[in-house]
Amino acid sequence: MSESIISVDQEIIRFYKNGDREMALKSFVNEYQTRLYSLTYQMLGNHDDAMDALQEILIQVNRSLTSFEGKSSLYTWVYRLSSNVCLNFRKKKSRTNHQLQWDENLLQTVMLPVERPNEDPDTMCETKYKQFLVQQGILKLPETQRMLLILHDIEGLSIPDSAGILSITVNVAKSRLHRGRVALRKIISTGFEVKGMEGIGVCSVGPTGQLI
Amino acid sequence: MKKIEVSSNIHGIIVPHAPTLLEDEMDQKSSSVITALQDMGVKMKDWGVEVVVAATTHWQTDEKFFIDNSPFHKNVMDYYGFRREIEYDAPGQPELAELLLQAGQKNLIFPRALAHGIDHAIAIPLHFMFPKQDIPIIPLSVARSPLCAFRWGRTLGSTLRNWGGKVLFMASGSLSHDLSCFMRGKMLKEHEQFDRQVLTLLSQGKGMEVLEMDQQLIQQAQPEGNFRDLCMLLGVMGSQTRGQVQAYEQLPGVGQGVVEFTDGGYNKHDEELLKYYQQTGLFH
Repeated sequence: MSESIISVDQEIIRFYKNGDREMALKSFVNEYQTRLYSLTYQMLGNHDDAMDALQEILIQVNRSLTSFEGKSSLYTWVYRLSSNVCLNFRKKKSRTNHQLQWDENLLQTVMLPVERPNEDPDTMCETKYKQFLVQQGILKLPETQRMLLILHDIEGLSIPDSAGILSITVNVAKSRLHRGRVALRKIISTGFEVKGMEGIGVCSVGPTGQLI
Repeated sequence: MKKIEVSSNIHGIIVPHAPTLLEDEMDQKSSSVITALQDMGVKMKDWGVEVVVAATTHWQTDEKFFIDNSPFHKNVMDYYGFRREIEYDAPGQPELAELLLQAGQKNLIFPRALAHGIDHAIAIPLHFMFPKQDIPIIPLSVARSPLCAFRWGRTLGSTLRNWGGKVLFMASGSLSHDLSCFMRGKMLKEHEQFDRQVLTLLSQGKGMEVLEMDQQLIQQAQPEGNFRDLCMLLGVMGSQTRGQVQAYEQLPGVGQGVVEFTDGGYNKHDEELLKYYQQTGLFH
């Protein structure tokens, strides 16, 4: 973790301990909101749920920052808390929402970066389409595998950090990650229908694992 | 079986506020924007609108969100060099403003109360919509990042729904807003291209995708609120709500769109729920 992040974390905690919650939250939002939103969006698949989950995360951070003991970095602590909020959010939604998860709640976009603006529009469009399919595929994975793929493969966390966040061992994380990748590969290469995109072709996976 | 009606207490609208609209009115020039605003005003009056909550791009406050909770708002004269000026004074809604402030505090957004008045981003569209100046208004500032604005919009939407009165949430700002082109009378195809992309995304229920548009195009178009007013509205209405484009006109460098939104917090989801309940008879 970089020194600048450590100093921001320390500043957040200092504001908090001095009773300036507003400044603490403001610093926290400036530092982490975009990354956390990316996580909640990847987990929940649409902007409204993603933002509501982020709001819940901020409330929980505000409530429980006093219990942060500094055993892990603030970043890891918040990711663990956020993952739990997302899981609970999904459970709550599936209890109250008699809709297919895999349906109209899924946005037609991805939050993964698209190269721009010098890229050829056709290439950009194709890249975006592939990203869309990958995201849709990830959303079809079982919860435990999906979380690991998002934390490790998309958010770029190390396997030990991802395992720490999910409170599982590194070996279990490795195994789930492997199974998740195999499952994702199968989902994508077999093809699947997305509402509104019926009849549109799917990608296949090349010998080296790349999408073609 | 008992008939179930799902209705929402929130309407949303994106409006422009170029003072040239006042000149067009004076000159009795035909304008689809003026007509759309007037029609929307009649529709809202018939509906029984009780308050206009207005995010104004002429009140941009970088660090904090502000709410004007005054019981009465005086006109703020903030445009010059046009052949016509108007005065628009209107009542406020301090009780609802207080609820919004409390909700913002509870949700860690920490908005503040501040007297601002009715600037021309509110006055001009409302002059066409509610010429009698009799609908209470709560002016909101536009601030921080688009994501923060979207978060504030979610809180505003939920609070307004719980309040229960009939609300028009208005985001006032131009689409493209390149004032150097406006001053020089220069039309650029990129501005129209930008406007049309934004309107298309809004009409497809993909409003948040404006943040992923080509950065060069955005920089050229200089949208008036940097999408923050729009993100507030999308937070209130639901980001997948499809806007209905009621009018679009182009001035040099300035895109004027009128886009109407009905509440997406209810529509599809509740329709699905109702289908389920009607079939199973679980709804009483």
